[in-house]
Amino acid sequence: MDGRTRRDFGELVAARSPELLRLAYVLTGNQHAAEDLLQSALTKAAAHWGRIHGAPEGYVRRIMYREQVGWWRRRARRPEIAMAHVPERPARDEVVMVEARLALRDALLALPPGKRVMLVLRYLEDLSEAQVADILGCSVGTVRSQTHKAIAQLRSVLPSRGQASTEVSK
Amino acid sequence: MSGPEEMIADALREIAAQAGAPRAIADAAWRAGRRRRLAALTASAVAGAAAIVAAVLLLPLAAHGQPPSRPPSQQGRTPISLRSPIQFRQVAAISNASCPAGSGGLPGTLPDSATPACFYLTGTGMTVTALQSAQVIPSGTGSYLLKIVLPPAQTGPWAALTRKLPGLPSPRDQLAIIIDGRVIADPAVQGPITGGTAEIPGFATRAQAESLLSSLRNQ
Repeated sequence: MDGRTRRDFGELVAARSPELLRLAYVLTGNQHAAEDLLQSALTKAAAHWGRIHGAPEGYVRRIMYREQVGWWRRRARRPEIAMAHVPERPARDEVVMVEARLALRDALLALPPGKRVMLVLRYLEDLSEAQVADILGCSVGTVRSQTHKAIAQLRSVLPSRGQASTEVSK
Repeated sequence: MSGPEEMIADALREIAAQAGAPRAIADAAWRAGRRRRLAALTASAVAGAAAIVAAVLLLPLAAHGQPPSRPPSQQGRTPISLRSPIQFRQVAAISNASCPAGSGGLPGTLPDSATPACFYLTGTGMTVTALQSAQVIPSGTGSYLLKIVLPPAQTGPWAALTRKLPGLPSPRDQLAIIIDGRVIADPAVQGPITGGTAEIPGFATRAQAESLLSSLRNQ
């Protein structure tokens, strides 16, 4: 039994690591932290492998989401990742759009991990507020308010001119 | 064009695409998971999580090369009498669902703190109604451990109990820690624990560990 579950584990990791690492990367914002997060989640899953029935990948993902939310709580007072400098050069519309995208990316990476978790679950995974609340073990109200705050934080760093601004303002 | 949600999703997708190739981690994770169990992990401080203990590790102190760190003056002097006994029993099987009525299993949760689990236990195990000492110590990885020392009379039975488990197929190598009819943790035992000690890590904050300790303590 142990051998079989060991093989299942190897197969999951082999098949899904790239995707899981991408998720870890978007959650943490850098390669090292992403590898640590994934390794830690897989270790946790391995320790309880025999009794995860159904969707082990979902279990691994849930652990990663929850660990990120936990880090966010414990590290709330630590400085966040420094935001990359957004160049201020006069430009054509196309460049403005590219800059807007880069600014949005930087702003997403500058968010506290817990808020980014909300955006990943809501918009990248496209889950409902209730599903997100279930995964994180918090209330729907918390999901709603954290998502709202995250978007508000993004709005403030998005370009305030041109097409992008009309798209972003609700 | 796209709304803010889609722009955010696109940007998140772009970030995710920057991830490099994963290293070969299956073997390392598996070994770490099976043999060291949850040693390197910290508990998630999840809102509303009722389970205080997310992970437990029982380690023979000798394996760390650390002598018990309590001051010698405290030994044998002020045993802590417990309001609720702590019971330790070998795990026979675990199912990831709430216990059916009349099943004889005890409730607990999987380490994601959310999935209910039912623990089926075997053997008489042992019951502890007093502790020689207990202290909350930092784990070094941002979380806290509750380190307990059993009364001298139970050191022998404790060593005997923990000697039987290492190397058994999972989950029979796990020892359920039961308080008030609930399995608060189910660590795998790595080796016989001869010092009468048990370390319960996985507390996100010192206050959580102290809260469990004070709830156990007889006033």
